[in-house]
Amino acid sequence: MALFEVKKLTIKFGGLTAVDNVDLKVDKGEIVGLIGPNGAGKTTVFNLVTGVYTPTAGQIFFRDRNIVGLKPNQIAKLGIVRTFQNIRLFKQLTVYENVRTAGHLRVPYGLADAFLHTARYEECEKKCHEDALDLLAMVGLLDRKDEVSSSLPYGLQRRLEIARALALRPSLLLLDEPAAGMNPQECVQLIEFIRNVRATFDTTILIIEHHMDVIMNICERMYVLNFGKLLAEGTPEEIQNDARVIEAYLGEAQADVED
Amino acid sequence: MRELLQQLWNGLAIGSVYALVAVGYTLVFGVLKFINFAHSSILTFGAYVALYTMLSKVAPFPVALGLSMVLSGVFAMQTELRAFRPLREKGAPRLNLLITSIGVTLLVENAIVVFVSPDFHVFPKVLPGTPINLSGVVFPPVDLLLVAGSSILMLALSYFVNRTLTGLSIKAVALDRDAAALMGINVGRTISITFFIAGLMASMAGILVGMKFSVNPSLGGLFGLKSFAASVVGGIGSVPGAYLGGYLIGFLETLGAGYVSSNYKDAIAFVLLVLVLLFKPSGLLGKGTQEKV
Repeated sequence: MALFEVKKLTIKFGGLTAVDNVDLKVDKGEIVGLIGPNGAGKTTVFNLVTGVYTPTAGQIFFRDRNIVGLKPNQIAKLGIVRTFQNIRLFKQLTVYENVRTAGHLRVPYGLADAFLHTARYEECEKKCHEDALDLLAMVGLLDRKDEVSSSLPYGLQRRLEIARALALRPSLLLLDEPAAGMNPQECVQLIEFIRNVRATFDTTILIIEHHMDVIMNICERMYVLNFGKLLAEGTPEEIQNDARVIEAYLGEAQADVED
Repeated sequence: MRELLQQLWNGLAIGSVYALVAVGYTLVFGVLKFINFAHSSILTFGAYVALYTMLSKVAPFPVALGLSMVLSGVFAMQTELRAFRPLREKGAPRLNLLITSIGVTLLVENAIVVFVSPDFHVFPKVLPGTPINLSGVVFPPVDLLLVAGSSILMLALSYFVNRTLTGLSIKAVALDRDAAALMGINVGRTISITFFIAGLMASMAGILVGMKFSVNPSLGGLFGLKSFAASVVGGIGSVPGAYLGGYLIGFLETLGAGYVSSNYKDAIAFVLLVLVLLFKPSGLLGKGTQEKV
């Protein structure tokens, strides 16, 4: 059984069917791509999976459990964590605090422990603190941990957002256009980084991306969405040579040009 | 000199009340981005709980104080759960929340008039009656309790917000509610906790002004309004700003009453509000909001 499976997922906004009967399947340890032209419904799929929207129809299975109807924080707790297309860090918090917000799910102590500084509190705090520092070291942000997150350059904000997501120890990480706005060299680093993340955290990754060199390089399989519908599925090679995909991206191949 | 010291002390005492209540406006505004006018009714509620506990002689004053603070916290939480949350979940505009909060205030005040009593009550004597007199400057016991109690609560709140994970989650929810939820933070619970703290602090203020003056159904009205002015003067959304605004209004009000005319006492808070908004619209410690384009 797949780690994550979406069956006949559909959402309608008024008359618009943003996601239409989509089936996806991701096995443990895979890196799977989700591509498609602008407005194809990719981010909407992420919003459905993370509980921001409730689907009109369809099921979302995570570890054989239907997670439709759960709240975003409950889904995060189960181990599905995402990043955003337009970075959504807690802007006025420091780099370190951003990562620490995630500590929430893993802290067994209560408020009373915090006020009384019990041994349990001290121990957990120490562990969370060290975990946060380890994560920041891994993404190369340790020396900037006390800076306000909005003051970081764009590329580093992206990394911090991934670090914040990783702090929840996700078993399924959803990355929404992690390479957006990056130059080719940064893209190469990002590919390395994502592979590294999978190896280190033993996580499964579903990634939305427009940079074809990134996605073709990193994914084992991919899905193509167009106008909310699933257009194709396969390995990067298959997708690259799929006539329907080329058509969706480049427009219809016209046999005879009139006028 | 003696006169000045006395006025400064009075300002500190009444400023503590404003600061305690202003923090509640600021905290709730932080997480929900609307002005909760029902907050002033929590102050009245708290005063009545303590008053009736004392009048019925079932418990000593510290217990009445604690009981009132906890019940007021729960009451504030319930106003959010029953009045504001259903509106939020249906996606109502924030203006509707604001109007609802005014409705809650009217409801609470009038419920007290109808079901409890419309009269002014004098709080039973619980503290030693003789004020401490230090070379002519008088420190009434209730003021000492007010200043000490509010300092303790404020320090506890600062610790809570800045040093605990729940405090961090309140900050995260205030900055980006959706992202906070996706980071596993239980937003509903965080909002409830915020209301609880706001209620707890308002109750302390309500009891002590009740002891200082008298307890009546519209006790929260003017104090609530001035505290709201204090939170805006300090910069709404900022906890230190609420303290600053509260004490500032307290000092200016008593100095104005002492040296200019006590007729203008109540106007001073609002004059200050207008002046601050003219020159620094985001409040003294508020962070300017930048329009995203």
